[in-house]
Amino acid sequence: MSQLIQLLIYGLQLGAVYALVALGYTMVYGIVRLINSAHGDFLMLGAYTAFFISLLNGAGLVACILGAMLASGIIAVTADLLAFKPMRDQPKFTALITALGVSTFIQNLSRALPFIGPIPKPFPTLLESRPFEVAGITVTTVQIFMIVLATILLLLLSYIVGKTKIGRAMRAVALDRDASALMGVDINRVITITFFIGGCLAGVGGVFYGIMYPTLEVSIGSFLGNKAFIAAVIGGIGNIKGAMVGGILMGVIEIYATSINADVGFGVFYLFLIIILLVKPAGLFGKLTTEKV
Amino acid sequence: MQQIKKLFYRNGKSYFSYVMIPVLFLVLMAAFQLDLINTYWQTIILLSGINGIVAMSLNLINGITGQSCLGQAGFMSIGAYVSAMCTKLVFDGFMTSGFSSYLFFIISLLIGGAAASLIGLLIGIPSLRLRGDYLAIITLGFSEIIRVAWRVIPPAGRAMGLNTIPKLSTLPMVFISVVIVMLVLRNFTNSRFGRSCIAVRENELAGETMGINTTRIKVLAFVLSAFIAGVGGGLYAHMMTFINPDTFNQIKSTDMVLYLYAGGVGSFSSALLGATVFSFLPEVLRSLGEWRLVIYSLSLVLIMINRPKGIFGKHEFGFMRYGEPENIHMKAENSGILSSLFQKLAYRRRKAERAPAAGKGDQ
Amino acid sequence: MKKFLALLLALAMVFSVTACGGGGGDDGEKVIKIGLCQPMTGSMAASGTYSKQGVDLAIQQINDAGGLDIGGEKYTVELVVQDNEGKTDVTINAFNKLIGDDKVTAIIGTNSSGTTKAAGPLATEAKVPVVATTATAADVTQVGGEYVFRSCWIDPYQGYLAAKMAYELLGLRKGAVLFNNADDYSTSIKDVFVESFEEMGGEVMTQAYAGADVKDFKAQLTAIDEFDGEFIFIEAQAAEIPLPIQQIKELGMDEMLLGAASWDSELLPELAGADNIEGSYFISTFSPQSQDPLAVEYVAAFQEAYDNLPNNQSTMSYNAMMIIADALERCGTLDDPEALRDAIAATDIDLPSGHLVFDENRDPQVTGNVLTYENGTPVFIQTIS
Repeated sequence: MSQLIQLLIYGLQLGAVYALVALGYTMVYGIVRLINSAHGDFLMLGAYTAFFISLLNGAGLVACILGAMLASGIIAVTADLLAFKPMRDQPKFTALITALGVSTFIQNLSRALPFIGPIPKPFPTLLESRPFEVAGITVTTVQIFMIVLATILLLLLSYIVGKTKIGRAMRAVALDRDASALMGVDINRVITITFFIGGCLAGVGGVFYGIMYPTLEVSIGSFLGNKAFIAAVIGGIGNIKGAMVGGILMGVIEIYATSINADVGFGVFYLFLIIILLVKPAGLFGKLTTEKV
Repeated sequence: MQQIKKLFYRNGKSYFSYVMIPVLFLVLMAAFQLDLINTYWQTIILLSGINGIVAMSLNLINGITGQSCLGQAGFMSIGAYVSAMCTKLVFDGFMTSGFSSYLFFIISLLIGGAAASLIGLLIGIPSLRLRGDYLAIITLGFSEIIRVAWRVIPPAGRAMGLNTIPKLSTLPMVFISVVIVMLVLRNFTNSRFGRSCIAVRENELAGETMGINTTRIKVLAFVLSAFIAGVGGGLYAHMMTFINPDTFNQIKSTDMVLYLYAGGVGSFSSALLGATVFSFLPEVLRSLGEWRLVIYSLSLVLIMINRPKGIFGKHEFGFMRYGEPENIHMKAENSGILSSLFQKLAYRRRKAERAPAAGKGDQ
Repeated sequence: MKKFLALLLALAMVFSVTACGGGGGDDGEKVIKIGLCQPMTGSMAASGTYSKQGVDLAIQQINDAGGLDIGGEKYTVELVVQDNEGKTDVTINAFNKLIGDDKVTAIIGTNSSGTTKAAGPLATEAKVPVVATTATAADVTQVGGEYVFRSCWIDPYQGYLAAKMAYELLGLRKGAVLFNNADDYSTSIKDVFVESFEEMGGEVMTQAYAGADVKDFKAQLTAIDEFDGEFIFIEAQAAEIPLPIQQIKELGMDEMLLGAASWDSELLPELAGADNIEGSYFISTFSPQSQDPLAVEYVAAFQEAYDNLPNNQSTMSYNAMMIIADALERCGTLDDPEALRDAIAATDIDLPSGHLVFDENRDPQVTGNVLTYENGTPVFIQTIS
């Protein structure tokens, strides 16, 4: 029993990261209907930014997280303006190919740049991990910090989307872009802000990744991005609550599945996805839109 | 060019590409046999043909039927593994002479294709509940599960894969396969089923009210596409002589989507040309070292931004249209490099023809 | 925008043409081309970078000494690098490019068994000798054909040596293994390790495994922890080792850690944490601490050139280049690939990692070194065979 709870804590820690990254996918999808496969690479660049900031003297955890957020956010907005904006009215798969191109570009450019390079970099210990035991279960300070910070960010995002003016604009654009343009919503501004928020969350996800797995290389983004994307789909892509639940669910499932049989770990991920989609074709929280005639 | 084309013009139809296919075949054969091009370029030419087959099979689902599939590598891997196991394990004893080995190779390819289409059927049926992006993701999921399955099946060599597969995918095999696949797809698209597929793409609900069994049509498209992708996978295995589960990963699937959409979705000819261009591009850029994939992806993004309908648009080769000229709707939809080039040329010629006439009128 | 695109593509073409033409070497000097095929991009890019360091050093030493003396004429060695991205189909293209376009005399690489198995038959068909660096699976040279050699030991031998180290040298009797069963390298070493260790009389209590792309090993490690053994043997690709090691220590487990060749990485102490690997033992084909005069000289030259210590990958690549250079000088001609192959097969030289001869399967006969980590640096204990 205690082992099950122990695994649950690992699962929550992993799920928190998935949820943060999944939110970026889901927000962008909700507003511009784009599967942004470059999102994972924003995360990678965020992690590297944190790494370089930590090399400067006196820069601590807070500076690293803020720097990573800012860098990822700016890169996400830049990518949107340069590459995704011309794709707004094109078929989804055309936009998907462009996003794939952007992803390959970011990864290989980082690899070709001498100060990033192909050799993995050790992520510094930003936060001392102190384990303590509660009723036979080991919990570390890092785990608590990550789960708490992720929860705060998720609550903050819910507040922004649910209660503020820009949040209302986002929901309006997601519902019907043309109608909200007619109602005076500045579509381009909303999209830019969405990309920025998504990028910021990816940046935090990058720092979390660095804390959990302190080996940085340029392909970490696609690895984590894939899983987070599936999490977003399971929750119902385009739905913010769905991404949070989906992310945490996938983290927990992954840990339990690999504890039983690691070989099929990634396969189980997809199997779970397929079962959920067959039962609920639009994900756990997604609404199935009926075709208009 | 236009002058030469006119030579093959009979009864309002152009037979130009019917002549060009054997000519292209003979030129390539001569180049291969006389070693005018070395093994390196030969392999890339064969690879672009095989990639073209799979990209064309994907066009049947994505371009013609209007569904979204992201898991073509899964079908490819079934064709590759099944046909390789056939030639390596089952028919090994029969493949003694040149003729019999090609005969059994073709049989193995068909068995591989059939196995892939069976899985296509299994995937197609449940997938019909889903639409758009969700369908794309579920096909991606299936192809990943197939990959995990190969990893645990002992006769498939688990993670080590299969090696020393006989090298049977020669130029004639690949070239003829490409032509046959194109003809099959052309005839299918122009049949009752193909037109139903297009109806499903244009408006599923309206198609259904016209009496089309949309469910059956979608499954049919999946099955045929899986069969062709399976044959392509079989050719791939017998060209590479080594396959392992990771050969057919997600990247392979997205590569196929890339070939199709960068070439021009909706047209089989563009899918083939797209596969050719994007199989050659990374190799042409080889001397750039670590900047190779940077330039490759940059050109991909720029191409997609400038030509969102694909480099070659919706053009089809003449034989894919039964030699008939493109109708006005097709012309309107085309925005490919070739079409804009031809339009410009035609415009210049008309202008040149008109200019002296106009001059005379003035006098 | 369109013009920019056109300009860019044109530039790329020009670059590729000039780069192709640049290697001609028309300045009267005789040049011999050696190909290197390694992952310079993709997730194994670090390995390719190390390999290139080793080969570059060997070539620099050869050229500084006046080049190769083949049949009475002096040749300078030129390296042609082709990236294989760590993928099988790209490896085939890269090999074809090296053989057909670059017309190299011999090829060094690759670093993994799968890619060498895929491309080896091409080289045998074209009669271009290949010396793989770290393709350790048992059947690589059989599948590749009679022109495929390697400078590293093979997996069964490595697994056997690791088991011997654990049982005889360290006196361990029961423990666990952690491996990646999506990776044939990891799996085959594990198989032989378990088999040999149990034959010697030890007990492997549990075999936990992780699939491809697994980053979180806590579930498996929790299971291992319950058995409370004396050691955990971890062997996988170099990039996959640091994470389980960190997580073992994070969980507060105190088993002794054992490993094999991929533990011998400059980056491991940094990536996994020097404290975490303190006191762990592993075997390697080469130890930078070796007192062999050739090794001392090599390590000094390497450090001067790159500011870091050579690891297994760079040493095996250095060896591969030296084996080819030695065989070329002995065979004395560039026109007879069969003579060159036979010359490589008859190799009998002293290398930084020790004396090397090939057996009838074209695999080298080498000794292993037992090393341990002390304060983040590998310390040489003794040789084992």
